Amino acid sequence: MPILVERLSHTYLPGSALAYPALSDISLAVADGEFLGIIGHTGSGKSTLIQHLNGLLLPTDGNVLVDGFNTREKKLRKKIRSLVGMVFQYPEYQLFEETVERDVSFGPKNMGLEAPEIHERAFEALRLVGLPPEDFAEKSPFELSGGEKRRAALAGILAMRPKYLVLDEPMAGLDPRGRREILALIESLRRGQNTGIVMVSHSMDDVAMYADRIAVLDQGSLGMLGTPEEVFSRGDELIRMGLNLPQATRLVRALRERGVAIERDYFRMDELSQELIARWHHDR
Amino acid sequence: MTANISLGQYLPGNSAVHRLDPRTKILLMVVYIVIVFLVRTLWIFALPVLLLIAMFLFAQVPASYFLSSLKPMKWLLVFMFVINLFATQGETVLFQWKFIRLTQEALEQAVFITLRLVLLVAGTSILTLTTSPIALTDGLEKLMSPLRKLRFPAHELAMMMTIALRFIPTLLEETDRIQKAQMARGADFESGNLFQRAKSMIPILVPLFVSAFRRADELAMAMESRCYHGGEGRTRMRELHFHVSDLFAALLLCAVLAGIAVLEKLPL
Repeated sequence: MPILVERLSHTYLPGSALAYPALSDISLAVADGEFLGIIGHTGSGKSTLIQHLNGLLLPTDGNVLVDGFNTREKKLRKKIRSLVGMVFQYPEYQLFEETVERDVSFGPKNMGLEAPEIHERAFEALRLVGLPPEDFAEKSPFELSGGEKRRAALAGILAMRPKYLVLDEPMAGLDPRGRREILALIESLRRGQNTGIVMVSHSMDDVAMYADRIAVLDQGSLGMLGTPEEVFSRGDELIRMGLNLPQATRLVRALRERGVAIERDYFRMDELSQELIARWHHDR
Repeated sequence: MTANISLGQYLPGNSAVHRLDPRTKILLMVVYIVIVFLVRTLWIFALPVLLLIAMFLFAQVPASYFLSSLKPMKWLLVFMFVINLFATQGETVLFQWKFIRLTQEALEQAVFITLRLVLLVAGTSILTLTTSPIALTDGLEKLMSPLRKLRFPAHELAMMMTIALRFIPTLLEETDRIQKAQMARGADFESGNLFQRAKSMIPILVPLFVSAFRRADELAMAMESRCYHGGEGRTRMRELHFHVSDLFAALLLCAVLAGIAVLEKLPL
């Protein structure tokens, strides 16, 4: 069962003088184990959209169904929030408990699980994010380093064992190594647990590399929805929307301008570099 | 939940009241408060009410802001009215049922207090509605500056107020963000008894305090790296000047004040 977004529109402060339409008529689906990337210019409605996926915001028009449960129904909201894990930007700012283990246990505790199960899940989640519980469980979350805090916060969501994971710029402010680790973790969740992933990102390269499909938001509307090939082959439109292209695609464009004939488009650096190396060998 | 806070809100504009010197507005607000407390006869309340209406008209503030300034006060108003209605001693009994006694004096007292509160809140909201927080603290600093001779830290106090006002929206936004993040982890802020609800605020308050301290630290660092060193020898970008309109406003309020003082003394 997927997450279904049906003709979703959202207006902030409807009916007042400050009414502001943030999203209009958005329809999309996230299948089990699918990786959906969301890109868009600042203010295009990305954050508003993802907050609908677990009922933090409710549609002004249209519906959001998570495995068939409508987010409008108040009784189902707890269930929906345990199905859809949500990692906000800079999630380390939500840490509050005295020890890492207690903070990671906050979600499972709210789900009403038994103590042994909570403990097991907390330790499992900490291992998943690469914070060995033997060393970290009893530490205060405030004495961790920036990257460790981020991973501890992530563990707090994973301990709820969500079926879908929604991430809002999970790599913002991390160093290259931290970025790689988070991306590898997301990828392993998808392979291992078949977790559906929705990731908002400003990095075209990351989305190009990992996403099965990409949704492009433009001023509150769904500008494009398709595979990375489909989306990034419409480069000029993306640039007009204030977005960029993946490095590989830009390199192909630059090479073509200088008269190098490259037949197909590339949007992943690894594939392009193989092609270029093959050419180089061939030319010699 | 955080979007409808109108207390202390600034409504940008260019009306006659907006253009008054902030010092004039602060001082006249004091005069206005004196006026409201000076009135002891019901019909004389017509004067401050007219004054209030005039202020709203001159300030070109929509009447809806009058109501929204009272909104956070509504329960206090009801409470004050009821308390005064039944707790005031009086002679002229209007209505009696078992131990509940309603007297003419009590009714008058209750109406007085409520009217006074409404006039105070609505009148002072004119000050914040028409004066930007920066102008307000500039005015306060200027008014307090004679006290510097007594080593009173006028500039520092005004700076603290400016910073506090500046960070109210930021902290509200932050609260909203943290609240959503915890709700996404299944936190429930709406059910349970008072104690449970208070306890459920911890996951919001701890991160909020942590980030408030972090912000304060960063701000202090940013100010110091731009060589901020307090009020000593500091010049300002905007100098305050009194205009003719300030004189008119002052005369108007003083006239009302004198009028009320005289009317209250007259044996009518």
